[in-house]
Amino acid sequence: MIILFLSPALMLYLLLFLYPALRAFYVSLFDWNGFTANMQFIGLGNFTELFSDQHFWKVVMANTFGIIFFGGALTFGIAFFLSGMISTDLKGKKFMRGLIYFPSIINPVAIAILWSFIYNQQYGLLNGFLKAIGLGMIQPTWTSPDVLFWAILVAIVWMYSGFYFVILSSALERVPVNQIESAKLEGASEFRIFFTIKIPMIWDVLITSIIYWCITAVKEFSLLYAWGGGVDIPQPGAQNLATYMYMTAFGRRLTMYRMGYSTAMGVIMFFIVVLFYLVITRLTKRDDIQY
Amino acid sequence: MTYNIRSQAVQLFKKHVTTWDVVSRLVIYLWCGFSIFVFSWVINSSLKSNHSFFSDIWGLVAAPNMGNYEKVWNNYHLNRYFLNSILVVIPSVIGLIVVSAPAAYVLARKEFPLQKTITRLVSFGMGIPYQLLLVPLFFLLFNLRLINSKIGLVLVYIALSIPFTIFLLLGYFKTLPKSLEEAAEIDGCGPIRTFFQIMLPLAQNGLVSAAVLNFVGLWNEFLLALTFISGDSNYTLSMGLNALQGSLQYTGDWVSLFAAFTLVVIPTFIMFIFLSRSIVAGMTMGAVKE
Repeated sequence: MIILFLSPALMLYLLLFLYPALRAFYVSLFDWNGFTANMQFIGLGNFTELFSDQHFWKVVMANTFGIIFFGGALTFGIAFFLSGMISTDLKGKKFMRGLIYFPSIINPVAIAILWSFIYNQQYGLLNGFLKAIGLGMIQPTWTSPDVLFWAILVAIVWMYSGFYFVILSSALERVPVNQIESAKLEGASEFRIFFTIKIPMIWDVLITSIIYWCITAVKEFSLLYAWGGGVDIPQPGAQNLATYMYMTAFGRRLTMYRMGYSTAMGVIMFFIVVLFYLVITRLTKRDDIQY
Repeated sequence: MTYNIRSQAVQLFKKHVTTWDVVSRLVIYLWCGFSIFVFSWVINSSLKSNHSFFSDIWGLVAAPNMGNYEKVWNNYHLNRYFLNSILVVIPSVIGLIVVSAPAAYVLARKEFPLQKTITRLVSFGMGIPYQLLLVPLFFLLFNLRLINSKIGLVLVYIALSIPFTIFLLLGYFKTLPKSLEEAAEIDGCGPIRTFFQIMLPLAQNGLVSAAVLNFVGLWNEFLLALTFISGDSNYTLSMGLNALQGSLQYTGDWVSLFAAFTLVVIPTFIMFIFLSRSIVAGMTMGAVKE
């Protein structure tokens, strides 16, 4: 029975997930265009080429880590802020909770469309708003090359905040009320209660969410790739490891077919996740709090 | 008695409104207000003609017409993409539950050699970014002649969602009381029958959560579809919307794009309205139970 129950899932998982994942490490050591049997072994050549590439560091990696760190800080900051607020009794709480969560289940391609219109120079909501409040002389190009990354980052944060908001706020709700009330009676401020009682009590959830964020952020693809209307080569501001690796392997208009090179980036992504996992779990190791 | 004191204390604090309270409430209202405004603005604009939209982007629609919807639905083949998405996502979710539920059950409640190793192996998949296996998987499917095929995409969707789904259901099966199986065994109920007739119905909520979360995730999936589907006739909604965006933005036909936006978001919205409880339950279950 055990074998019968396990094998369908395990077979699919091993064949279509683990096997290609393992093979990736092998492929990343080759110079290969994919469609010939001729795979040329070049050792760590793909990695040394990547690491000595200025564009790779200054654009691709900078954006990847920018999303992880700045995006993470903003997303968690907002999620915490909103969840702290919603736990106080507010009218229409359920409705607002749903509304805050909703962007995280919208198709990211649709989000890219929505935000590129919000930023639109001539007819966009943002510049329209500036005009409406009498600031018509300031009409910035929100998506000019030097700020494009930050513009997209705002959209990413808007999309993900609701997801972490729901996780954090439902964890916060399980914190026993009597502790908070007795702390309040003794005159502790909201801030102090938040950092000395609430945070330690949702510690495990927080760590899990942060690790989950790192995995999500490092592989963020859809919104960046869809940004700017189905061009095959995303603008530098929209290039991170995920879009860049896709481009080098499967990009349609300018096909590079550099399968080994591209897979090397996949391997780097995997190691970034492993690294974050190890660092976060080591740094935050502490005893469970029982309550 | 304690309850009384507590509620009195709460009453006491309620009156005490600080500037912090005011500011934070303002922020939360602004955040929600922004979303409401943006969504209604998109729907409002999708009912306008391009001419009336560009002359006043704020104006309420005077003569709402569904022309944009008909246009993207028929002329731009959103109908086909919609159907493709349904034909890919529904079988994926069903297949996923069919293979994952028994596996999760066995891993959660039976003792056998390698149980821990297999559980760890499966959970490990949650940490692997899909990009790692994109190229090898592409050529694997290529050799199996499953590129640009819905069946191929369904298989990929199932395989790649297995770790998360098993992890979620495993946590759920673990919460069910052990005595149920023992009682069933004493009554002479075989293990397979026990699973189907006793454990599965009890795990119903978990199964629904897993199904809904995977539905939403796969409905919005873009990277894998883009990689493994190449022909226009097999495009899923994400791909179709992306292609549509390319051509409509080029011609400046924004109102049609908004109609497409609305059509794509509607299924997730309906799902969300009716099943938000299962979505939230599943999400928090994943985060809380390690």
